[in-house]
Amino acid sequence: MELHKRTSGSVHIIDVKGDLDLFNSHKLKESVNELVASNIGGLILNFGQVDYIDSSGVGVLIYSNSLLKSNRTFFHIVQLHGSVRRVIELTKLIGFLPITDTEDAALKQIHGAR
Amino acid sequence: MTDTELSPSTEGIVIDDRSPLFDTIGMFYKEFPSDLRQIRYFTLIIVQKSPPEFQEVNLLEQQIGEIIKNAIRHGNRHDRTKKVRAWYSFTDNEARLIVEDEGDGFHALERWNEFLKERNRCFQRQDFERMAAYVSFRSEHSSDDDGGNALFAAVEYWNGGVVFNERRNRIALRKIFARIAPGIGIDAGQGQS
Repeated sequence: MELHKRTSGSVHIIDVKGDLDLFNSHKLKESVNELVASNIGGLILNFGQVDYIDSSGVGVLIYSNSLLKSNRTFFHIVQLHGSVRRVIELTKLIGFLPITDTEDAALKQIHGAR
Repeated sequence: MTDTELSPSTEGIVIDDRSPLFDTIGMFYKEFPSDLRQIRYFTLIIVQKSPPEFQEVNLLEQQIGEIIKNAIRHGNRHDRTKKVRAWYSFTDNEARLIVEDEGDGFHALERWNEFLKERNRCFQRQDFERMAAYVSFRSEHSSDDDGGNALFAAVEYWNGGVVFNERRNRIALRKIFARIAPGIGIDAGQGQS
């Protein structure tokens, strides 16, 4: 799994690439922790290149959502697809997690809310 | 096994040693060491027996992996001297899996079932504020990297039933795949005047 970080203004975007599982999901958790500690304007996790997620990966999404919510920071998960989206659906986290179709839509929501 | 023998599992996981889901006749069998590092490999050994026509094989692999992972982590507590035993079979429209560990059993099952019911109530009401307290199930054995959500997905995915034995160290699961009506293409009904 690879994490590529970029920004759009004060919004930070992490492109997640590869499988998100028990052995690497802690890396995503650490990255989210680091960004939140640096007082960012928003965070988008782009899952366009993630084709596999396990319960540990789902756990990191739940953790990130809780952390960013308590920190009152905008948070979006975008481009969920295939079996990754199905796992989120089966876990009944659609609606609970801030899932948005595209990065553009997420950015518009963040900028529109300010 | 007929559809009338299905045990609904979205309201919780039942305990029933006599469930037909525990019948291992005609199933493949494999033993695995309690080594999480090889979980994807173990799972692929099982999934490779599934028919090539199966849809969502990635999801099937993920769901089987979670059950074996639970056996290694919560059942055998990573003790590599203990084995995970798996029975599995596939037909054109069904996947069956039985996984047994050498642990003390899932003693928090009743608490988990209650947790699931409340979680489902929150979801039905779309009460996501309250649901925040029910997204992850934790027990005294949960570790930081344990998502605490695998069985929630399992009871949805394995729509033909999820059952534990009395000792609670053996779980049986059945997935029924929807049949596509023969002769009806995925574009049927579109473009007709």
